[in-house]
Amino acid sequence: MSIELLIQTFVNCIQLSSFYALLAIGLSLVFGVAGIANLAHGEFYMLGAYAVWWFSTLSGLNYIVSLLLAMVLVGGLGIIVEKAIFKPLRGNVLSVAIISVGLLFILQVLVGQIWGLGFPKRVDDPIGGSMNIHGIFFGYQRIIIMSASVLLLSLLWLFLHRTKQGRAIRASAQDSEAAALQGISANSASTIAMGIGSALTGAAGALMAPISAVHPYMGHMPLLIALIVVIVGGAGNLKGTVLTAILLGFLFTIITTFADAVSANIASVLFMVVLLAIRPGGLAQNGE
Amino acid sequence: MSILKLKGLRKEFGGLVAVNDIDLELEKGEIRGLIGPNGSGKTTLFNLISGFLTPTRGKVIWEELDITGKPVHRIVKKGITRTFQLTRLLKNRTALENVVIGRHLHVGMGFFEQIFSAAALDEKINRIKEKALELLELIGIENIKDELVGSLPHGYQRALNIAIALATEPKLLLLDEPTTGMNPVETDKLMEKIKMLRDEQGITIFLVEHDMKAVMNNCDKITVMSFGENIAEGSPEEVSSNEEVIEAYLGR
Amino acid sequence: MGNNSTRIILGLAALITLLVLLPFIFSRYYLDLSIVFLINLILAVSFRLITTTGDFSLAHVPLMGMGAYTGALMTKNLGLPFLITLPLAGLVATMVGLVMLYPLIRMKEFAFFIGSYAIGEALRLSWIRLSIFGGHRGISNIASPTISIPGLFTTDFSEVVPYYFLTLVVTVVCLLCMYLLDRSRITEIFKAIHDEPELVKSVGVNITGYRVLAFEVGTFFAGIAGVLSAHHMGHIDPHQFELTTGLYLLIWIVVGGYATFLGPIIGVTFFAIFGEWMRVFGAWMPLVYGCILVTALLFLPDGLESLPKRLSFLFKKTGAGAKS
Repeated sequence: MSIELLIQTFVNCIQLSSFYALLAIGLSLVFGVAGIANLAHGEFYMLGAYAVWWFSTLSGLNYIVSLLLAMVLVGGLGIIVEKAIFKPLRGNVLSVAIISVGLLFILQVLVGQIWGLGFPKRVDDPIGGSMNIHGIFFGYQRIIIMSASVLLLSLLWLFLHRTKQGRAIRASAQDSEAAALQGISANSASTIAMGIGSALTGAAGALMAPISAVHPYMGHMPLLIALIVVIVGGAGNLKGTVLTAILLGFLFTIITTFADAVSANIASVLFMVVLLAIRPGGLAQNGE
Repeated sequence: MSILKLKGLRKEFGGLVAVNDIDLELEKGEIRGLIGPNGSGKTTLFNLISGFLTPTRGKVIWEELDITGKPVHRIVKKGITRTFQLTRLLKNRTALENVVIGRHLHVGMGFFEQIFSAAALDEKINRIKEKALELLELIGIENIKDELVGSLPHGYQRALNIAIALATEPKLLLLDEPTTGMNPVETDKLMEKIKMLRDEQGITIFLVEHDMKAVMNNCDKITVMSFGENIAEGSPEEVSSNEEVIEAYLGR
Repeated sequence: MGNNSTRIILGLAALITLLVLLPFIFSRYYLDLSIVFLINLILAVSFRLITTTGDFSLAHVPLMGMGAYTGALMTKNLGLPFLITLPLAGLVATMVGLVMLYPLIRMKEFAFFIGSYAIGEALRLSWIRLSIFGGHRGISNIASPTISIPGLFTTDFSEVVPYYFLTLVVTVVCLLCMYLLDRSRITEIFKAIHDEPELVKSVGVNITGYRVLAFEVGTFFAGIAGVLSAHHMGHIDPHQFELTTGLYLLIWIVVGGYATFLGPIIGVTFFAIFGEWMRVFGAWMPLVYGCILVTALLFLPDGLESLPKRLSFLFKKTGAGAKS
């Protein structure tokens, strides 16, 4: 076992972990603040990828502009969806989860029928290729993903801890009545959380688009990963989410490298089961 | 003869100590009152005794048996039943049906019997219903037996909860604020019924109450809790003149 | 009382007569669909059984798959007769279910929902990973069942019509068992556990025990549905038991309603009929399903089975000239 392999694996772990963190944080925020278990989370990710394909590959816009547009679009969709179908059912986590299943099917089919089910779409990397340092490969897109994840997560942390609205949203996660007295209703907190959460998820999809197969069902694995991270790390808990993302990223990369992808999937899934079983009462909504 | 012994019972929730090393003994056939300001840990104590919560430390000894940390349904089988501070009833069902659920441990039917043997079932169900009716009569609320519980006045609902608890044939009954929402007349009636349960059936009663008159007039002994600790224990006269007790209540 | 019972019995007799006559009315294509319909009935009613305690299990379809794989392997590799593999598949599914419950039963409500998906998925992935299950390709050439009582008769069920009758008999027996359970006191306890767990605990009900019971009974019948499906299709693979299938099952239940025994039956029937009309939609089907689900949850949350009650309420209001 060469030192190069170890280092490369380590690099891969870090890259995957940063992606997992960005992927999961949207769901964590929405579930923690509004109690919304959006099982169409993977589809929001998928829409982010398609959006960047549309703006960048099809329309020739700059990648960063496309990324930002993707975030706005998916964020906006999140707000619409929250008001239209989640708000009426808010309070019953299971009902919201079930109705999001309907949304899942709707989005998958819409995208598949409008843009075809044939070959996956290709999105061009803004900076192609990778850099090679002593035999260790650092893909440029993966570096972009890592940087963007860190940036976006930091911005989110700043928002939640340093702005009035952010603090109010965190308060709403703990005690919506108290937060309402401070001027933020449970409704607005929920909508804002959904908007931001969806935008971040769309960003994850947009960032991964150049290096993954963009097709309507690409959201399946991301949903599973996000669920694992949120369940284990604690909904609404930024630190917990990041830590779990790291743990899971390492677990997944190591098993894929030294065994195979299917085993890695099994391990991830069992990891979730074990932690769900240990946590008393399953998924408790935590504030930050 | 002590039927229930609590030894060094402690419950912590994270940093908060809800029950702080409590020692307590109940005599068989006693009516014991448990009083104390809000948040002093009375309901937590009930939860610990009945198995709804597992203690951080300490023991619960029932009839010389260590029942600490045992699951609730086993403790109920052993003879300890509790009621709740907030009324809990099976909605969209009648009062009688609710009491029937309380007879769960005394149904006397096996799994397959319950599914396949219609005749034996009918007979046993009828006997259960008769017993349930008896229990309602005991509490004096048999007139509402076919009413849906949602439509019952609060006082009747509280009484119904006691009927359900009695259906389990308990040896020790933990009543958590049974007279909440009752007027003085209803309270007196209930207290009389409770005394009768002890006198005629030998049930030991442990009673959390805020209604001081009811507690002082009906309990043999009173335990006072404050901040999770057992600060006083004695007859109603002793307790009502105890300095610490008065301070605990006034210093709120 | 007597009038009601008579009506129910007559209705059932008519229904059974219809079902028995189907092979003489339906073409092979529709008969095929009917077999699938019957299997889905067993699947849906057993799923609903588990929901009476409040547990929504996404492991139900994978456990059906366990029954299917068991039946397929027992038939192909061990040559066991159908009369043995049928209950055996149910039993194996139950045992696998029991192993799953070890972590799963600690979870409640939404956590149980997600956990059941995870653990069902782990099972499904293990079919892909372990060669005995045939990996991605699964198991093919599953022989049609043969029932033989030595000395008396041997019947082959390779034709559609005989297989339809076999499925019909098995379905009726399964539904009857589940119906008896539904009318029994045990289901009263299941429902009470869902409605007021703390109260029910306080009168000595072993909630965990009953949840396990509901899950295991439901799983047994899911296993049986699995075997029937395996023999009918002649081929099984892991993709048949994916999350999507479980989500469709969920949609049948939610749209049909799950408060009573009839709800899942209404749901399956609705989608069986509607599904045929929906063939036109082709690839848009999942979207239509999704829209139906969303509409149902927003406007008819108690399912189609609650329609008669809702409509009669509406009529009562207008009839009495009641003000809104």
